[in-house]
This record gives sequence, structure tokens and C-alpha cells, in this order.
Amino acid sequence: MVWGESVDGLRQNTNGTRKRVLIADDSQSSLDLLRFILERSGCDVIEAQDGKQALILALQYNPDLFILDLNMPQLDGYGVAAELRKQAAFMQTPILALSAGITATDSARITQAGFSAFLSKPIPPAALRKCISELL
Amino acid sequence: MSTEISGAERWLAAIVESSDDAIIGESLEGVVTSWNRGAEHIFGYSAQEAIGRPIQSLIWPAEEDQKDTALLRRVVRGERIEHFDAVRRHKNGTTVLVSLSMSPIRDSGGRLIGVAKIARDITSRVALEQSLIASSDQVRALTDQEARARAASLANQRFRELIENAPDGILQVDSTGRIILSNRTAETLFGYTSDELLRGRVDDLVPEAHRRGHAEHRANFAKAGVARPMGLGLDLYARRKDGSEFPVEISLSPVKTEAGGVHVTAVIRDVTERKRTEEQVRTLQESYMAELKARQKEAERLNHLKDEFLASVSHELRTPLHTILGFTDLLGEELEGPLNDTQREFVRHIHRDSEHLLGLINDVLDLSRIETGQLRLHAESLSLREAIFEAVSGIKSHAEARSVDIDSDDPGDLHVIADPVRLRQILYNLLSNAVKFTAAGGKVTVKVRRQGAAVRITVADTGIGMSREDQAQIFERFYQVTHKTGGAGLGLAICKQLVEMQGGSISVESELGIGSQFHFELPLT
Repeated sequence: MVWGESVDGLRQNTNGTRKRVLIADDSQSSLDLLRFILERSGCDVIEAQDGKQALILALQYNPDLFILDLNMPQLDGYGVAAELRKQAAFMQTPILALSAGITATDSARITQAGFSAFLSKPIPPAALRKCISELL
Repeated sequence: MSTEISGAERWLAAIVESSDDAIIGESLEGVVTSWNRGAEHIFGYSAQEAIGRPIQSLIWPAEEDQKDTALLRRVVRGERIEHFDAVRRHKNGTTVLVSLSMSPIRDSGGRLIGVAKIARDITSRVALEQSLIASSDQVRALTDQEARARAASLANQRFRELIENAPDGILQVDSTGRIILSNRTAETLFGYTSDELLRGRVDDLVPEAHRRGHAEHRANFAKAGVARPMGLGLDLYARRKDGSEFPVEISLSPVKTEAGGVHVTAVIRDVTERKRTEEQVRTLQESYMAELKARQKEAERLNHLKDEFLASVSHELRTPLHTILGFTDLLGEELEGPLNDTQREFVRHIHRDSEHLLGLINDVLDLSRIETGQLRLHAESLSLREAIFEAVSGIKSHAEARSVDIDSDDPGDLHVIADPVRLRQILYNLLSNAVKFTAAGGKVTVKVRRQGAAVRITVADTGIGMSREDQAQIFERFYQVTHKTGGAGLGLAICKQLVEMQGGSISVESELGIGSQFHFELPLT
């Protein structure tokens, strides 16, 4: 546990607009947590409750970063990433995978699915911020 | 010589004349001097014809008998011969068998002047004897024959009965396929009388479908000349008089006839019952197999359900804890506002217990997955140095907070075959235990020793140690030396399972008040 670490957020990109982050998780509580951390870091947050909604919102809002929980019903994180990578608009967009209990095989699969990085839950907020700043 | 014959002489003469036996007087040279009526009768010569002639020419057989000559010589010497069997000749040439007695004739001075012979015709006696013997032989032969015949007939009868009542049907078939022998069982089996069978052809007993091939089979079999026993696994059927068919087993043997042909003996067994039983057994087996398969499937299904259950339970239990921890972290960062000391203390408690709870859930889940065989390991070649470094880094802050020093050997370039996540888990578990049970100022060390094709890793501490009793049970599920430090007592049980699943072994050495050493082995790459 770390105390009073300075916020390592990115308030603005080079031309001054706020970064848009799309987050997808079937747990509202998890979404709330992510929202708090991201908004504190100066990002605009778009929430999706499942994979399908994530894709619809992606097309609508054109986010700069995706944070996807791997474990969602119907269309899970892997599915969403695969779909996103097929689209010209999102082929290069950073996608972060979040999951509980990642095993060795999982990490291989994650990379293959097109994710840019992954973090294991429970994620210390500081670690999340660090990762995001690297991706954006 | 006076013709006066005394009365005694006349009496003697009468006796001689009336005797049935031949009484012959001979001179020493063998000339007949007297010839009685008996001699006339036995030998066929009259007295006139015989007297004055040499006896040999008269009645002796063509071949000279040495015995006779020898005997005669003895008589001439003065001996008396009695009852000596000899062969003589009748005037008509037939053989006469006689019993001879010879005695010397002496004159009044005692001088040998001739031989008196008495010959008894024993031809008929001998003939009778012989015929008796013959007939008794005959009788014996006849009785023997009869006895044999009777025995043969008895044996024949028994044999016949045997065949008739044999448990299987017996038929004999000639080269044209005609039935030349049948038994009662065959009649019953096929529903024909014996007459009908003996008038029929064996092909009639074969189901129509196979009739064509049957004649050929018969011919081939006869040619081969080798018996074919039952139970060759052929599926054979026979046809009754009423047209119904039944399953049979047939054994065949060829029988060579005197005429040079080959007959075939067939023993036919009705196997309807046996087939039915076999069918029942087969059906039973099939139903058992089906049952077994169904149960296996069910077991698999339940396992799968359990798997899914565990996965979903773990997800459901852990998700809220993740957010609890996250929000607790955020609080602690004081970005939303400062906390006073007490509040910070609260947050610390919440965080610690939440982590603890998460650890418990993970342990329970791990152990149950290990035990139901659902935990899968992904073995890789791992750098031991990296694994130890990671584990030590993970525990470092905790150890520093308790003022416990951590040190580790450098394993150099050694690589082990292990699942990376699980190896980390084992090391972390052992290290966390070591730190937990070591007082401030103590030391925890990670040692590495190479042992042949394996490496032995030791996590040693200078902590409170444990008793022999505790050592024996420490790896058991839920076993805890003390319940004061929390936890569920699963950590070491999981370690043991994980180490063993990777082909290694785990053990402990400890001394109360001195410290403990936990060893585990892993195979080197």
C-alpha cells in the first residue's frame, strides 16, 4: 500500500483535448472505481457494461484508450479486442486488459488477441495510472 | 502127432476162435502160423490166405514202422509187450488201428519158437474218441461261437441303444447325400420318423438358403478326409420337417467304406438354448456398458458443473474484494481529502483484512481445484534467480515493516521446470510464513542447493520454530500451529500439492525457539 503518491495523470494531450477512455466491465463497482481513478487523472470516461455495448460506444465516441475486463458474459474482453483490431480506426489504439488470476497461458492469449498490456486484479491505483500514462 | 486134441486144447481153441480180437501166431521169422476168426474179421484175410505168409506183407503198412521192428526184437528176446498202439492195414487197403499185445511162444523145453500176437481193433474206438473230441471241440466251438455271438449281439444292442439315445442327433450320410443311419434324437430334433429320415437326403435338413452350398461342402469335406469338430464358431442352422429352423452345432467325421467311398458321420446339437443364453448375456453386457457409459457421462457432466461453479464462485467472491481494495487504496492516497491518523488506521485495517480475505478465497479455491484434479499446471523452464527475486521483492516491504531481514542465495543460471505462477505462489507462501513467525530482528534466508538432476530450495527462518508433533502435521489441510495469526491453514497444504504435482517433494526441519527450515525440490531443466 502506498501513501500520498503524486498523481501521474495526463490532463491534456499535445493539442489540449482531454483523453477519452472507454472502460468495459460487467461489475458496476469496478466501473465506478476505474472512473474515479481516470477522472482524477483528467480523462473523459465512457462506460460499457458488456462487450457489445463497448463496440457500439467505441464507434460512437472513438476513444483514445480501451480498458477491458476479460471476464464478461456473452462477448468478453478477448472478443472485443479481436473486433476492434479488425477496424481501421482502432488498429493502433492501445487496449489494456484487466483480469483476476492471470496464468501463463492467459498472458500468451492476451498478447495474441491484440492487447497492448494487461494488469492483474486487484490493481493498485498507482500501478494503473503508471500503465495508462505509458500507453497514452 | 496124434490128432487127439485134449479137452483143454479144444477149449482153448474155442476161446481163440470165438474171440473178437485177432489172435495171431507167428514164427520167429514172422510167418503166420495161426489166424483166428477175429483176425479174419479185423484184417480181412481168411485163415487160408494168411497162414504161411509173412505177416509184414499182409498187414503191415507200406512204410515200415521202426517201432514195430524194435518191439518185435524185444519179444524175440523173450519180452512181453502189452497194449501197444499200432497202425495196420486191412486187406482192402484201409487203415486199421490196433492195440497189440505180444508174447513169446515157447516149446515144452522153453525154447522160443514163435510170437503170439493179440490185436484189438481200436479204429472205431479211436474214431469214436476222435469224433468225440471233434464233436466236443465242435460243441465248445459252437458254444464259444454262440457265446461270442450273444456277446456281440449284446454289445451291438448296447451300442445301438447308445447311439439311439445319444444326447445329440447322429446321422450318417453316404457320398450322394442320402441318409443311411439315424438315431432317435435326430428324429426328435428334425421331427421325422426314422423311416422318413432313412428315405431322405441330408440336404432336406439344411435350410433352403444354404442348400446350394451344402452339397459342395459335403464333397469338399469328404475329399479332405479330416474330422471337423464342433465349436468352430460357424453359425449353422438346420431345418425341421415343419419348415422351422433352429441353430445347431455340427461335428463331422469321415468314415471310409470297404468299397473305397467316404461316408460322413454328423453329430448335430441343438444350441437354441445356448444361443438364447448367450444372447441374454450379451444383452446384459450391453446394458451394463450403456449404464457405465451413462454414469461416466454423468460424472463428467457433474465435474464440468463443479468446474464452472468454482470458476463462477471465484469470480463472484473476488470481484467485490477487488473494488474494496481499490477504493481503500484511493482513500489512502488522500487525493479526495486528507485523513486524520485514526482514519488512516481504519483504512489500513480495512485494506489488510480485505487482502487477507482475498488470500483465503484464493487458497480455498486453489485447494479445491487441486483436489478435484482441475488445477492445471503449465510447466516451463524458469530462471530460478528471477523466481526468487520476484518472491523476495513481493515480501520485502512486509518484512521491513516487521523488521525482519531477508536474504537469498544467488542460484546463478540454474533453471527449473515449473509452473511460473505456482512457483511464485509456493515461494511467496513459505516466505510469508517465515516472516509471520519470526520476531523483530530475526532473519529469513532463501538457500539453493543442487542435488543431481534436481535443486533443493530452502526457506529458513530464525523464528519461533515448532514441535515435533506440529512438524508431522504441518502440511495437512486446515492444520494450524496457532490460530492467532489468522489464515485458514491452507497455505502449506497447497504448497505440498503444488510441489508434488510438479514432481518434487516438500519437508520441514524445525526446533522450538530456534527456527524452521522448509525444503522443497524441483527438477532442473
